Amino acid sequence: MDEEFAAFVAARSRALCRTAYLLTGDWQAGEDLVQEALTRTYLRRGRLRGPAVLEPYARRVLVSLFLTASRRHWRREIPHPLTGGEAPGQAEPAGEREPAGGTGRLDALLDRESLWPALTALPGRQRAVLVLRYFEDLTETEIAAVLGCSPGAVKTHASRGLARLREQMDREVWSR
Amino acid sequence: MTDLEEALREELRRRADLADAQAPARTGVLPERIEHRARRARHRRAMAAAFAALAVVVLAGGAAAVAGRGAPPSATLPPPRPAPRGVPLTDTSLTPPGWAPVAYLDAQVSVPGSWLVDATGGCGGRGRGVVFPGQAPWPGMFRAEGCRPPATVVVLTRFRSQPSASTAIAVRPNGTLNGIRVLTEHRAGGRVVLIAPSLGVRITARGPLAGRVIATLTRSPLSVALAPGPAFGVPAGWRWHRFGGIRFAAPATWLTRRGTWWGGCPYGIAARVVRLSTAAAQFIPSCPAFLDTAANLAARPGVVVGSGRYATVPLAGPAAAACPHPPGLPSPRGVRVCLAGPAYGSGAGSVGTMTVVVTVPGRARPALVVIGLAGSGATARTILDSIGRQAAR
Repeated sequence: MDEEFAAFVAARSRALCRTAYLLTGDWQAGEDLVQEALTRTYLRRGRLRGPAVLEPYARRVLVSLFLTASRRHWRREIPHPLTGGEAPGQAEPAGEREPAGGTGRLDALLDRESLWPALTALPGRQRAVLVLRYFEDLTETEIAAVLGCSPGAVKTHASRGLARLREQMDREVWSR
Repeated sequence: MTDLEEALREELRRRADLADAQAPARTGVLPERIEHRARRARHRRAMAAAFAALAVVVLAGGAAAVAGRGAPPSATLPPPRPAPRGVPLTDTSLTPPGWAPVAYLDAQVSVPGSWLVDATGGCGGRGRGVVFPGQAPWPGMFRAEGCRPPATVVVLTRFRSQPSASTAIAVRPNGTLNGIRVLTEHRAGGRVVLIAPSLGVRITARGPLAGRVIATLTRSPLSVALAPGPAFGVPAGWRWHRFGGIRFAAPATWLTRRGTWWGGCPYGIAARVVRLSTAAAQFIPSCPAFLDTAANLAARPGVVVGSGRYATVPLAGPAAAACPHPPGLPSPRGVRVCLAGPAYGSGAGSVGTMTVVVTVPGRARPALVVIGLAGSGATARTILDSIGRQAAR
């Protein structure tokens, strides 16, 4: 492996793993996606112009791999913390847990405990849009380029994703 | 931003931090794993290509046996003609409005600007057309990636004048196309196969726009820049630049920008800009994501010169043999100019730039000159031909 690509891997693989984890909800699965994305980027590096475009390309492949995997029927199910399972990388030390949600509906709505399971339950494309928008801080145009769709479609996915999050959390709050 | 959006942002960061802190650090072994996966991927592709070639030979043999004497006359390929004395240019008039040129080695075709250029990881835009410079899609690739096969597919691959017996297919001479001698292979299934021996490429196309794309065939700006022949003189309206121990000329209308970073976003080449970099820092910005469409990847006229710590490229393989001047013999202009990979060889044309390493006797570091291969190739060649040693003041 050439030095330039090795330096890129050393510098950016961890950041890509974080994004992949948020997409898959599982650190191991995320690492696997990152390895595959970096491999494809490595095979194409001769056609990519300099180190500056390696990361956007790798990110685009990463998201595409995630979406492809999420469409498959044999997609691995992610343990839901509320049903007793705890996905690898999701376990939190007791000291870091938030105190029990407030009594108000808004407080409960913003309760972190209910936000993550709701996010993991979203369809792949909506989840990818939310992660790219609120974690990677990409613009709608940039997300559109990553997903190969129009900025309008990105807006729609984001809006539907947020609405679904709100709906899921509402349901959870009222069922408590 | 709503409360929910704020909470989501916070939660994503918190989850990522938490998982990151708990996960073991494996950065050291990652390059090894990538190498391993890459080897496996190359092996799979080689096997798929071998099977495909075998299937083509078997089918071609079967078809010839069935057709009997009705098969087209085969011709032994003549060696490529020697380069003409004058230097023919890329015919830019062959690119229709809204289309963009895609070059590979010495050939260039034009395709609609929205077509993807050999992109993986995403199906966006594939419904219309895809062009593959340098590497054919492996069988079943579109299906494997969950994409609908594009309407038109154009593949440009390297053609060697003496095909081996196992891959020899009946070829019939067909005259010239846009002034370039071409041959066509006899193929069934609505597929057009065109060979341009003098450009060293074979073009395979199928789909509704196959004929229109093939009709845009011309020589690439890279071939113009590297063609043997007289050096292009510097026009009167050009400006001389002195930097990094070398001097070169560029159109006077191009802006000059100086900087310390090497690399860039996107591609480092800005249209009609001469960028002079001391290459003291590597520029790794967060580039906007882009689609590999023909319009996005089209070459831009411009030049970047770097002389410093980060202005380095590996000089290996074909690059060593790509010196216009024999090693050890300085050129008349007092420098040695060598092409640097990966801008030469497979995928060269599609990159849209040509990188040359200019070694000046007595200087510890060579200068790197990246030239945009846009238009007719005359500008790139003039810049290349003008490179010389900077005179002592």
